[in-house]
Amino acid sequence: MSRPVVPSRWWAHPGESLWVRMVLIVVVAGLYVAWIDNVGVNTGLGSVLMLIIPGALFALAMGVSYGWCGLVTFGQGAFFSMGGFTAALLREKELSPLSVVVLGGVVGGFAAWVFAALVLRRSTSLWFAMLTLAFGQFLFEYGNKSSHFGGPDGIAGIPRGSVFGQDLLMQWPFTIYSLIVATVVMLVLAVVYVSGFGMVGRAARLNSQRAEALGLNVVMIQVTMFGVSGAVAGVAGVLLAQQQSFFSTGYLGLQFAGAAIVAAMIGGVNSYWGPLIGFTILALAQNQLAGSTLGSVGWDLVLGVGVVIIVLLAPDGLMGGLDSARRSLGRRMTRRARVDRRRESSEPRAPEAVGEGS
Amino acid sequence: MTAGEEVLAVSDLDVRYRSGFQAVSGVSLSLARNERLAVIGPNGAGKTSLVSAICGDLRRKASVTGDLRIEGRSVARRRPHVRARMGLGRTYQVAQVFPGMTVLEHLALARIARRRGVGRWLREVKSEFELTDAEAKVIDLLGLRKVLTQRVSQLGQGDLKLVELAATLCAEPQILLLDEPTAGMGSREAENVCEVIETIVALRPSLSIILIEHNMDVVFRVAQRAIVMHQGRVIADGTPDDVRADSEVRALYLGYHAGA
Ligand SMILES: Nc1ncnc2c1ncn2[C@@H]1O[C@H](COP(=O)(O)OP(=O)(O)OP(=O)(O)O)[C@@H](O)[C@H]1O
Ligand SMILES: [Mg+2]
Repeated sequence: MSRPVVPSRWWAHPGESLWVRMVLIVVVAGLYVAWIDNVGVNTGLGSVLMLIIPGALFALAMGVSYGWCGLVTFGQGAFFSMGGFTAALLREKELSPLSVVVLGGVVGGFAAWVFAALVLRRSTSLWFAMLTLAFGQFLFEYGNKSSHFGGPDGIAGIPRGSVFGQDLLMQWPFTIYSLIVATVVMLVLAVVYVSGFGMVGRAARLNSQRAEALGLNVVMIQVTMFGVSGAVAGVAGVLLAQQQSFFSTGYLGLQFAGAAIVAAMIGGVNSYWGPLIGFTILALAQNQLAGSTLGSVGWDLVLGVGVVIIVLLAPDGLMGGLDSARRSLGRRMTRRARVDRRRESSEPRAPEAVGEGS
Repeated sequence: MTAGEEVLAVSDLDVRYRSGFQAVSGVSLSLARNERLAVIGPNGAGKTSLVSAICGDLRRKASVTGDLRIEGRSVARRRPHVRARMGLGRTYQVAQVFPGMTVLEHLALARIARRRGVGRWLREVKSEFELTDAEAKVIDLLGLRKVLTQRVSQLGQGDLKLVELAATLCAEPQILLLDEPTAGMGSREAENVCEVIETIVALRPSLSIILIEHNMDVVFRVAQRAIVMHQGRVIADGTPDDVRADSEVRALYLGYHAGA
């Protein structure tokens, strides 16, 4: 039988060789950071990477919620903060940083799952978006009033600890530790993305009525996927808290969530890599702009213009744009090849067979 | 599985949209296994509303009252996906697909919908996979083999209706609800759809069909029984010939569609 010709879209659809790619990325990035540190050319790549990872994971959590199952959310900062405060409140317990990461993920994920289960039982996606906003704002106010969370001043002194005998206090061990945690998260998400569960989630975003009429339990999928998203946000919160040794209710605010939403949109909410890439680009751009005379006004301007460009030119973000460009290029090339072949032989061509019955 | 066994029973169904408009009033109908029932009537008669109410698609748009049984079990309070898993499958007047997905991915979704157990959620869905015999039959019948790996956004409206029908059939429903499957098609394509329906009926002896259709040729070819709706009510019920002979029906509806 002839196999159907499907252009491999690894940036959008993580396939079988994902393990290899992930490990390569970690090794290369780790080596690079280690090299920079040792050479002493502190260009700040290590610190930028270290800063980028929690934010990028947070943007990914936004993508998992909206792009992977169609739930618009403004409240992901709440689950991020639950992770962060898990680390902050356990700061004197001398736990391994990895177990705190796992704990933060469980807390964020469980809270998100319960929230979605309660809300989606009765209401529509639009109300869901509104309620995430209300939920985030409520926690923000509550956190600031309550004495447990350090109020606006936050909680300092969160330890980084050590993993397998390696002290994480220095920059590069911590960067590599963050990279490894992020990689594990990405691997788990890859399994989610390519599974039937991930597929139905995307279907729920594209046309939830049709998905239900086919017999797919859209609400169950959305609730579960929102839990996954909350877990990713929780892990990101722990990483940020450990990295800064500090956490505060500021991350519950809308500004933080807004930046992540924009980043996810720029990269492409629906794709696997999109939010990560979007956030990285934004972070690097902001890093560049910070030194320039434009200052913070310029930054908002860049964000605004970026969003408008994305919405107008590539509604599926950079990754979506890349994908469709590649597809249309591929089509054009096949067409040309076909015309060439027809010129060579005047025989009528049999229709292409795709995927035989088994 | 005896013929004549009732698979779908609707009694006293009312559909009132949020706007206050009552689109269906007191409709009762019964569908036997392997029966093919046509629903005809002028625009706005409430045909689509009836089918949507049966599938549970109107939960948020309208209040639906009355009893609804699939294979004897009451489903009036069940969510659409539960009804689908009990055997309902539908298509829409305007094709409903998942934009951006390939035709093959639509089949993958139908596969997940059709299967039971936890494994279907966990198993990896490849962007290319082999069709089962039943799936291949449906695809060949509908002539979709050439476009299997294309995204549906690249297909025309006629092909979209076929993709939608293919996905519905691959979910293997017991009761198929078709909302104007030939709308917007030429007479040759409509002919093709008729053949498809006839072949499917031959392939799946236990399938029952409700067909909403304006094209009377299709109705006469496919249906054993027809009901006529007008302003939300059923005004005639019988064989297609009886219905055509009914004077009230002629006055209200067939007059405009004579020979269509
Ligand atoms: N969402 C809605 N809200 C309010 N009224 C609606 C809604 N959908 C349909 N209606 C009204 O309900 C009536 C019945 O509509 P329906 O679509 O069921 O008719 P139909 O018999 O399928 O017509 P057609 O042959 O045009 O498809 C129409 O008058 C329509 O305007
Ligand atoms: Mg209609």
